[in-house]
Amino acid sequence: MLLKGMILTCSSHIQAERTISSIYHLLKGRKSIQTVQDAHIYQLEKFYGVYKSLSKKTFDQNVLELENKQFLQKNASDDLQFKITTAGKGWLNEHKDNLPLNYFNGLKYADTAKCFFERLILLIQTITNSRKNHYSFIPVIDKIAIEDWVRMIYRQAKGSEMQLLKKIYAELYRLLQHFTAQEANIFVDRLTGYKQYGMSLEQLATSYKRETSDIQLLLTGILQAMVAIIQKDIKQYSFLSFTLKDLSPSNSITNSAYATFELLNKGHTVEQIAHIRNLKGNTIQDHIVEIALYDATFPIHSYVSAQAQQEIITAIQQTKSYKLKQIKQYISEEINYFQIRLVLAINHNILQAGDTNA
Amino acid sequence: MHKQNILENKLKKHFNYTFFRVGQKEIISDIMQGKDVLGILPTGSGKSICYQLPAMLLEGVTIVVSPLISLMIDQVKQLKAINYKSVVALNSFMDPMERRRVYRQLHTYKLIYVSPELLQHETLLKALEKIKISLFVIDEAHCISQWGHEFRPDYLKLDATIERFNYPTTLALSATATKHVQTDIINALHKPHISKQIYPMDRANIAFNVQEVQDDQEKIRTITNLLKQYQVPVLIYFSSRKMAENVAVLLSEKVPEKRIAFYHGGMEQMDRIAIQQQFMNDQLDIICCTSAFGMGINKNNIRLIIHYHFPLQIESFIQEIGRAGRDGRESVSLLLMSPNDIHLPVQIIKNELPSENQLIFVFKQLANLYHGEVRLPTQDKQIENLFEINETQWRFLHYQFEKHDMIVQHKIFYQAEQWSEAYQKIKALIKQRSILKEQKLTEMLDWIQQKKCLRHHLYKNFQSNYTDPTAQCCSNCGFSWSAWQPEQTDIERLNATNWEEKLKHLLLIGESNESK
Repeated sequence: MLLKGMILTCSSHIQAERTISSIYHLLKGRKSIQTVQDAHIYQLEKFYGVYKSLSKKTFDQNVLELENKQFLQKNASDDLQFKITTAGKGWLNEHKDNLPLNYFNGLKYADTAKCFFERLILLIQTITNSRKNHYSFIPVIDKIAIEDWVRMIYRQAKGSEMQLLKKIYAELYRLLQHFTAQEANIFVDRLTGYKQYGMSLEQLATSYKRETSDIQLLLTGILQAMVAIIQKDIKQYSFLSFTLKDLSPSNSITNSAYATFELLNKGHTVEQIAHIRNLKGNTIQDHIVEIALYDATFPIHSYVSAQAQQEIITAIQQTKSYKLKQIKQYISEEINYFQIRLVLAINHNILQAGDTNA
Repeated sequence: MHKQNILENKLKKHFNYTFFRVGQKEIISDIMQGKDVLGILPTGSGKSICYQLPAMLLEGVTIVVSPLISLMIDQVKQLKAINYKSVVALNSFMDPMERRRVYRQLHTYKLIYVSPELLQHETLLKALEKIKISLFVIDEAHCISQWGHEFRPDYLKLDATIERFNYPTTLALSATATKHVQTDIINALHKPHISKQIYPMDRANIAFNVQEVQDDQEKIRTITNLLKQYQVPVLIYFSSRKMAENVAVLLSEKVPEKRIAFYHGGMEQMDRIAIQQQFMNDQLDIICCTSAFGMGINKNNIRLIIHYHFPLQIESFIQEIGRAGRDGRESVSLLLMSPNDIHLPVQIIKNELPSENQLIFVFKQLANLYHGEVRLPTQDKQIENLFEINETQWRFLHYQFEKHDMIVQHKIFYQAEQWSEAYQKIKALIKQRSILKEQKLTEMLDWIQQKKCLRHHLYKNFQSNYTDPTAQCCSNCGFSWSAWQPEQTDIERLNATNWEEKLKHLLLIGESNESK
């Protein structure tokens, strides 16, 4: 249900300007410039990368079900593009209280929240076992980076485990007040302690009579909301905020784009960079668009004249569309797609503010 | 004598066991004297101690080739849990950064688990050549035999690997190898003088039952009745993930007082550990699973193993029932057979090998790639999509293509004559393997339909004799459920209903002696 709610919400933002698989890429958190850019221009940052294990099969099946229920409708001109129907909007509205879509903040917190939870789970397992003098347990999290962090805390807490456990209890107790009783129960049931292993996603699904995909998404949402709450109020959550402290918000710029960025800073042109890195010119242009999305000081004027920028913005406002092809028809022929994309990247915030469609 | 006491002291020191189980000391003594060993020990007899202890005692590194990544990871976890830290599992799922870090420090480990595929990678081989390898272990050594039930082509390259490492002491281990397979292992390793330590695999404390039923409903009824009657740890084996899931849900409804879960290879890693450990901890009573469950599981009080579907060969069956009653107490195996079951394995066997049409298609695609001057994709998943075959089928073909020099790394080498010859050979091999698999299946079915002693006929291809059963023998010799009265396990249920209480309990808040 949650997944369907997300697909419908995304469709209502995108308004059939992108193919349905762009929503799949968005939920999976594909590290491509196109996907990141879509997340920004359609104001879907919150759903970026919230369901990394989503399979294409599950996704397609959900889309098909939505289509069969006539909540989604294929675009007449392109059957890879879908529009939300009035019935679909009605369904979203009807269920909005049961769809905690506002919990999500994927682009910012997907990685942070995941790491936060893994640390918390392994820490609780370690400290409770240590408190019981039981040292041969099988850790549920199997990642060196997480183990190292827990080991560091464990060394400090050794001998005063109860103090730490009480602190964790107090902070989790406060934090869970922000959620429904069922959400809090699901969260707690997932945790592992001394001789008590947490429930699997499937067990939670059976126990709470929900789909497995719902449980997975709900947990992700709860965690991302938790990170936001903790960061807003670090005084109240001194220990939990400590577990987050060294986790920076996801920096979605891809490594390859970063290499291009460094070469740009050294004063190389697109052609030179393409030559140096043995990549196509188009790829380097993709990188530059990605950089433009993240870099507030991006020198747009080196690529697009002020006049051309204005022309593009006017075209966007007139067509009320982010479709490159449509925009291109409204502007002078010498302005190319790369320049349109750059202008879109630079202006996504401004454009969204004035855009009633989104 | 004195020397042997030393081994026992070491066993106590490193693993906290006071005595060796059958065969362990003999194998370890051979290894410590530098002899190559073929060790055939039954499931659940502690095979891994045979190399884990020498690894601690020998100077240098012990390498263990193991075909199952999940098994490797489980073993590493268990070793770390008992403070055996200098151990690592190398496999293709490792994060590349992490792998590079480990490769640089290979010499700091005592025990390195590695998958046979990875052991063909030049980078790893070069890194391993630089360190002192004192023991080379081939786990599940039956995979080396074309006649074994789980043939793994990469195992055939291990003799070359042993040569490259300058012939370290070699230990080939298996729980299920017929005499034929034992000979194959010795030949494939070119070790005619290997010390043979072969121990009987029959389990005197397990009673065998085959029960014919009409259909699935009757299976469910039978299982439901047993679960209501006995409070003991139970494993129920299925041949498909979907069925394991569905029946787990169904049984939870029918026997709500029992804690039932399913387990299969398609689940997330964290969930797999959770289910395994819940079962180990007696938080779960019953697991509906596929053959993926149980490898490396050290639960010694599993009392009842039910086969909802029968496995495709006797070897798998022996391994799976071998998980029952490791504490030596009376345990039961029950195989349920309905007339419809006969159709299931045929499809499974078909899916394990490419069909003739698939083979033609793959050859065509491969030629297209060559003529388009394209290399093979680097990801197995992409290759499988391209050729429209599954993982097992690709693993089989991949080895064949390499063997016939059609591909090297990801590059394709085309030569019309050579390819058509290779095509014929592969086709013939597929036929041969299919016949073998069907023979194995027939053996299994013969056993199920056996009218005489099930115990005798189960082990006849592996050993000439067996120990008298400690309690009941089998359904053909006469078995009564009422005569089986195993000790019931305690069931401790957490009665907390709200999350506040659950969280308190989890974090040990409010327990006595809290002030630590």
